[in-house]
Amino acid sequence: MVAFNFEEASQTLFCLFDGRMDTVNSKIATERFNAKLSEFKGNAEKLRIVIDLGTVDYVASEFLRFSLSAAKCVQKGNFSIVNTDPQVLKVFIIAGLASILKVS
Amino acid sequence: MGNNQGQTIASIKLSADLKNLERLTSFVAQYARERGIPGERDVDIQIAVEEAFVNICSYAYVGERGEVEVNCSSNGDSLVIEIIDSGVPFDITILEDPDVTADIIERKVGGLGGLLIRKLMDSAVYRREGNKNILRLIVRQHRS
Repeated sequence: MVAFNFEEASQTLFCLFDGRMDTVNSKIATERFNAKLSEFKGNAEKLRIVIDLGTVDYVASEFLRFSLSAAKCVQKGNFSIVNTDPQVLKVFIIAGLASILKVS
Repeated sequence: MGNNQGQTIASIKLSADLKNLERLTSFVAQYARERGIPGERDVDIQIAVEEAFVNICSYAYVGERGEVEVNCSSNGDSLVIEIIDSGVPFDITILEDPDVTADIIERKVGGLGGLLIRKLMDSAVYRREGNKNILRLIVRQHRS
């Protein structure tokens, strides 16, 4: 569902999501993300977060909420979402989040 | 699955519980696929139905258990999906859209489910009949 990889040199937390990010799975993924993020307590200012959706083909609004909340945890510009397929990108565009969350 | 005036109708009734989400979206996806709805529109339908169902699970039945009934029918190149619950009156179609131009700091995290329903469907109409909320979604196979 979600795997984490922290790159020390760039202080980047890569979050690799997998599968269908419906409401149920997004809630579980949010809990796992929050647990992971707690490891960086105190260092969140420098942290960069990259959400990789390369193998995700479905997102519901719960995942949009997660994405927005996650982006608010780090400094502006230090959050991005990559490898979105066209259907997933469409949902972010409709929600008006594609630009501010740097979705590509 | 039944037949009414040439329309093939399929219905499902579930308890309003998130554990039934996958069962419901699989049901509408299968119905859409069997009617030749293209993959992209199939996903649009699943998202819209999911958002409506999740809203019912979260808010319709305060402190009690309830059910959700979903009826699918097809009419020409359109699919009609009615989502029915007996919870408190609630019209998701008139919720105020979040400010999609707001900066990330000011951007609120709620209100996106209703927005997705309205934007992904060709039509989303709510009505109250007796003690029932009925959300009628219409999706055409191909958007003009």
